[in-house]
Amino acid sequence: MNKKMLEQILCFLITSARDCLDEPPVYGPLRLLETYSMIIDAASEDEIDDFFRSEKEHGDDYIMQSMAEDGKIFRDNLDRAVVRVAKYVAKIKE
Amino acid sequence: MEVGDVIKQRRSVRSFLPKEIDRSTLVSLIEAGIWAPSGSNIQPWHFIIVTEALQVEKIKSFTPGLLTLPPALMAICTDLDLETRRGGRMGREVLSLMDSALAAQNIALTAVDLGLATCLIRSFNADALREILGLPAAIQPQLLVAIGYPEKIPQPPKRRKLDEVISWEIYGKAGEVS
Repeated sequence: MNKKMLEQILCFLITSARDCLDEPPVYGPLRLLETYSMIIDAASEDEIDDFFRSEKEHGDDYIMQSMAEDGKIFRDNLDRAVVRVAKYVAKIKE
Repeated sequence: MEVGDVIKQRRSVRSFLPKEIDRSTLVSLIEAGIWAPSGSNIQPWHFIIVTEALQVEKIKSFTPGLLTLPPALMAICTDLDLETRRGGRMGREVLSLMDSALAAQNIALTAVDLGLATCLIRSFNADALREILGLPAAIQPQLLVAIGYPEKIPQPPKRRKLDEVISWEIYGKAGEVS
């Protein structure tokens, strides 16, 4: 992972940790999703499986957007995202 | 050990020695667990013991409340079909969590008596654990117990004073506590 991007992520996290104390509650999950995307972007080809790159597209498509429209849709989309990742992890052999 | 001492020595331990726990010891913890009371004596529990390092890692991936990799994890699950059939809505919505907690406390206290330590964890994603543990639809994970030989034993947090938490006859009526 590129040093500069890693440091940007760390700055983002510590800032978000503090700022989320004063921001709307849904910003917490939103910041976590941002970090999820940032890490996928920062990872080199051999550091991360294609599964997660495809997950990022999924997320960009509707998790971020649905968060603004309806809390239930956001929640349901996140439920589906967690299960997709869990199914992927469950198949890992080593 | 005296029961009172076991109760006061139990801690939520998050750092463990890399030392294996033998199967018979883990089973004896479950034996303590199943002697907990349960609503309507439904005994709705099912315990999944995880000791394989990769499986522990997979569970940790979906358990923000688990900060280290313990030598063993126990998933305390309840059979929601059984709870609903015999306990109705109360069984499914209330008793299943209470019964898991009662079993968990027995396990945590017995662990202390055996020189082990535990941490009870609820911050996990149940749907993800369902995939990792291969749980059928009716079996719901309720609590995780991290188990191991303790590396560090934390100091106990202060307890609220007895006269703050006890009322006599009606709420708010103070009385002697010593």
